[in-house]
Amino acid sequence: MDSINNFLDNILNINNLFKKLLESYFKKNFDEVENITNQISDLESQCDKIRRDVERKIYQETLIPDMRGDVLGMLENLDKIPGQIQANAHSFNTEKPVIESELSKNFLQLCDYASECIALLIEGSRNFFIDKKVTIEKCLQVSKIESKADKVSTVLKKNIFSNEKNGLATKVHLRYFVEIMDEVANLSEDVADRLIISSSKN
Amino acid sequence: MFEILLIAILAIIVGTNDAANVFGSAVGSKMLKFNFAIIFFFIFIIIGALINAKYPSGVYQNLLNNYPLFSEVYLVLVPVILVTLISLKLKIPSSISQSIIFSLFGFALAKGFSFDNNLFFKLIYFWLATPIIAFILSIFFCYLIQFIISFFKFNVFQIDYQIRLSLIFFGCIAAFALGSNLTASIVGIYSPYLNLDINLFNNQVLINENKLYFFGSFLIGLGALIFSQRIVQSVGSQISAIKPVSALAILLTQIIILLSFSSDYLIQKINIILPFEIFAMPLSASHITFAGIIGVASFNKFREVQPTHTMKIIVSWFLIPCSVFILSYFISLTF
Repeated sequence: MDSINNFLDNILNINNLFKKLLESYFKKNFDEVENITNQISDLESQCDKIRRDVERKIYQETLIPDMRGDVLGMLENLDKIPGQIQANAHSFNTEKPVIESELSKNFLQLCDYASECIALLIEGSRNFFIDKKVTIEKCLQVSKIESKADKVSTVLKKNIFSNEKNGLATKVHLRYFVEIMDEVANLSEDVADRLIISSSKN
Repeated sequence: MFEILLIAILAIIVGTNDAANVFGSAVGSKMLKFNFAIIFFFIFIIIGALINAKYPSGVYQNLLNNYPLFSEVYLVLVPVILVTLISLKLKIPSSISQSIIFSLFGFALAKGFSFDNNLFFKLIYFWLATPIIAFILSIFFCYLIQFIISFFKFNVFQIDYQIRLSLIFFGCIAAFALGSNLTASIVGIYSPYLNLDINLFNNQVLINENKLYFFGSFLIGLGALIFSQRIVQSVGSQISAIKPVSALAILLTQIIILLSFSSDYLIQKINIILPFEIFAMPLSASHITFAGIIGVASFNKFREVQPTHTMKIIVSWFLIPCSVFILSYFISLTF
């Protein structure tokens, strides 16, 4: 259980680091962005290692036989989230999109919603091992927050494409960043949906 | 020699069939490995037989006023072996103790021996009552275990560890309880012939009580060790899927019921409380296990119960004793 808690803590840390990264990015503190990107990469690698160790241990020692398939699925799906955040961090660090100040507020809001989705999902995942009712409750909240994230991403896309100053390439580039940030919330919702099913059946 | 061979066949069949009753739910739910479980089964079944088998064995002696000659016992055992083999082939668990008593009844009727009907009806009463008690107890234990788990707020890994330990510990106690019951079922029929000299490979062997029960329980263990793996691993799967908590509830149910009808000390204590009297008797561990599985399935609202196989087993509870009785009656009339 300690390993699983470490895994979940790492995801939360990655989540918090990405918000810091975005704030530093908008302050144009690119050294800090690179530094945070590296930290995220390290934590993501740790997540992979912990997940593999936990999966191997569960199967080798035939632990929790009646729910190990669900736990395995949960860990693998959760592991996609730090992977996506890591990719997003690298995209910001390498592509350095030009985001106008009026859009940055919406970008930060989108990041907040995605971050809230992850925090709720992690809380739900932790409770999957203790109290499944809490898991279902938290996972249902993820869907609500994800809808809010979708609305912000739609507003962002509208604003991006309604701006006459930018060329099509810039618009498409910015839309890409909206989509990859929204993808974090979408992934969280997918994992939450599967967790609801796993929690309901036991 | 022929009698020893019959006991050996019966014991090995029972070992093959009944190891599943103790550790089947634990192995079937993947909480214990078969090899690990069977070692405990082997040890505790022998201990249980040596300590308690003499009590339920007494029933066979009391059933007949004129007990069959030693040379006639095969007439009782052969129908039991035949019917048990057929039921095993059809993957239906059968009760050896019930089969032997119905075979004795057929034998007595054919040979004109007087039979203690009062005792016989009491046995039938308890055979019908124990699955119902097992059904209720298994539900009670499911609730109790769930309550303990939610009270202490264990996480799944802690629950897994506690249940694994409990399954080993209670599995050993269940094997102990089953040891007395099964051994009494198999060799109990020979209990009136104790201190008998038997010619074994030109050697005179004096069969006393301990030797008889050790011999029976050892062969049960051997049957379990050699032949039971497939049955143990698939137990419950044909009736309902078994989860670790359910496996523990079934095990606790078996222990309570089997010990209550085999331990002289417990019987005396229970009789102080109960308005009627219970006595040591060989019960059907298979029926108790089956009723326990149905009990835990009802706890899960019968979602995973396989109705066809379940009905087949319930029908067999009546068909098997009747078949043994008829077969025994005609064999005893013929020979």
